[in-house]
Amino acid sequence: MKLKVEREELQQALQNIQGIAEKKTTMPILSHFLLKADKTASIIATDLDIAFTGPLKAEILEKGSLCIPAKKLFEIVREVEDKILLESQENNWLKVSSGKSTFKLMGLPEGEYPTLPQVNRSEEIKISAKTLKTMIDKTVYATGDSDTRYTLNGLLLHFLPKKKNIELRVVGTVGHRLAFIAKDIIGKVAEEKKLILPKKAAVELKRLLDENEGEISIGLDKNHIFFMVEDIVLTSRLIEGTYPNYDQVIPKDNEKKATVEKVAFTKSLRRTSIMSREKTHAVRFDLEPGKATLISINPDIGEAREEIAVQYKGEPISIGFNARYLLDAIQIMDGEAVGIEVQDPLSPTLLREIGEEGHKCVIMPMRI
Amino acid sequence: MALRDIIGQEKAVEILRGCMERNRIGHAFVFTGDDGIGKKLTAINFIKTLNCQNSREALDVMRDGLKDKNSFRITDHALRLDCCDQCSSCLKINKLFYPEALISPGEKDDDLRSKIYLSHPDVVLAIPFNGEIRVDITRKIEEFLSYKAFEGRWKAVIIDGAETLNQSAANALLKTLEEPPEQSILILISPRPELLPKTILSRCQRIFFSPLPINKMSALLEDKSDSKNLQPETAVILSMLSGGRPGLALNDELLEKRDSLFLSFQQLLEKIDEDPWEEKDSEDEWFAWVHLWLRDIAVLKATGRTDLLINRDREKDLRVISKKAELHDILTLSNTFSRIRDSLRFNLNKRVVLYHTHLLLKKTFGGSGA
Repeated sequence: MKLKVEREELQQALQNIQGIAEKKTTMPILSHFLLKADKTASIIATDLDIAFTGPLKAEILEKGSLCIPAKKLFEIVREVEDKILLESQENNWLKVSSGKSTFKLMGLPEGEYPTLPQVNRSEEIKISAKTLKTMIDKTVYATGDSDTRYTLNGLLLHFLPKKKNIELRVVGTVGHRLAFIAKDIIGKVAEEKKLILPKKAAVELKRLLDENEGEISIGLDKNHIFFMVEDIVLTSRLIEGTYPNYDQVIPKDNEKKATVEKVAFTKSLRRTSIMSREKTHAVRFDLEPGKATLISINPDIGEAREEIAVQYKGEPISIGFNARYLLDAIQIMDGEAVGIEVQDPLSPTLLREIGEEGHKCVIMPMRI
Repeated sequence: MALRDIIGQEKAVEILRGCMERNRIGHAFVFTGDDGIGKKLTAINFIKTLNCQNSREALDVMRDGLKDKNSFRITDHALRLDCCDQCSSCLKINKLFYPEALISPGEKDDDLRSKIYLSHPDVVLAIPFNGEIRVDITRKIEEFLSYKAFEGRWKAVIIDGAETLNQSAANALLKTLEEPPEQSILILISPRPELLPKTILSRCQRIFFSPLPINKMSALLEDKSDSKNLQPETAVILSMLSGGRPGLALNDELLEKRDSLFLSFQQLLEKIDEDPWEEKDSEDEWFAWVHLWLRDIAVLKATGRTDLLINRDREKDLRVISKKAELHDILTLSNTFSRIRDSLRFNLNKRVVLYHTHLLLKKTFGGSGA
């Protein structure tokens, strides 16, 4: 393998994979990336959860492939000033030369690198980068971090076939709260599909979407999901198992419906939760026609109380919440007002984004 | 190395092949049998076969009932249910034989304590660190299994030295063992399965590995060490000494080890001079060897025949010792020693054990003799 590449180009490409190539130490080879030079050159990095495949603009003088330590090459590229010549030598050595400096790096053969699955394009699904990013943003906060129920450590992607297009539903939950968003997207699937995307992959995908606009396509196979943005492919392993039936959890006919202004509500929640217990963040929410009172009482420190205006006409009700859950859910909403639908102090409460019908959050109240 | 190259464990290999042939592969196995007789070797090759890229085709052929005419070339039964040992999947899994090479340069003891070893994205090896497998490892195994396979068809976990799973680690494993995710297989390897909790054993299929017969061992030894010009007599002694365990017999230092320990045994008969057990595992090893020698001494005492001995080459020394005690006392001593050996894992005080052993030896062999 022998190729010539611009310094900035290589630096940018390596920058993209630093987050993936460094993370894990379970397999030493994962700190390497795979450089493949065929007709075009490409860079592949994986941490076994996600894999990144991206193009590298380079002048290919000789075809070949090699696994190269990602961090070391990145450091080299950052320091040198000229065009870079990468050349593989015997016993997997890589010679890096730029200007008057030369480096020798110990690489590994391609065969030892995890084999990436072939991108499956049989059921191409298209979605705009912006939409997908919003959908992830509005649900990912509700997923578990290292829950022993592993299915909850990911986002459910539920593809429902419709006549002309697909309805994509994204759900995140840990049991105490749930976030749900549904959108129609372009494409066709033969049957209903439920996949669980690991949280890490969702976060990495979001980063990729931040940098790109336009349309991305999604491919699916038995064990993987592929996100294709221009020439870049992000592959993720899926989580095994059955996701809880989220539809059952979302309350359909809570009778007591209130609307509150988002900014004001966020601010007063922040203020009152100062006095609540650190662990539970418990805040009481007393709803009456025309107004609501937020109360937090901590016998060791003191208490806080604040009134805000709400649109509400039903009977008075008092209900306890974890303020952090409320804040997480409300902050991510875009509209100016938030709809709160309550049934009784112990049944699930529904939060709605006014003006965005597809987005719903469910929060379990606390006993106070 | 492939399943076909495993010597002396035909029965175990046959059972595993049967599972694959019927396409009914158990989700959890316990491989039991003495150290060094090929349990891990079989486990790794079994998994290689399940994930082999070349045998995939062959397995499919079998399932589809030979629809494809070109596939008639794969008719050899053994070839079909074995790995090719050449595809990238097989080569990657092969690296699990040397887990030390899978440690990244920066990893410290603390990291190794809870490390699981991967050389193939879908195959994990867990080994004890400082004689223990901790619950962190079980958690990592659970997490590993919660994902779908990366490139293979099966996700596999091998736990070597499963008897060292501590209580919480073993308990945490129960749920996974009972109901592992799809396409997963767990293999627990243990020379002393009686130390495993019953709850674990009852969730696994047991596969027994037996020591090799002497003739097969000798043949294997002569075959493996052809370059070193092994004498047939030495080969026989080595196979007897190792008790049919190739892993031990192929160790170059087996005879030297025996001789140096034998010397310390002879010394301990007289006086306590220096500590014969410097390393952690050497007490257990010493008692294992002494067991063999006491057996030979008893045999000499009872029959006087040299051809029944294991340590044939040390006949003279053994005969001298055997003259000093009664058969009955030798047998009693042997029993006492194996009880002590069993209790070693409870962290007995080394000094006390040493003095006690010395006294026992003195009592049995120190008298005027018969």
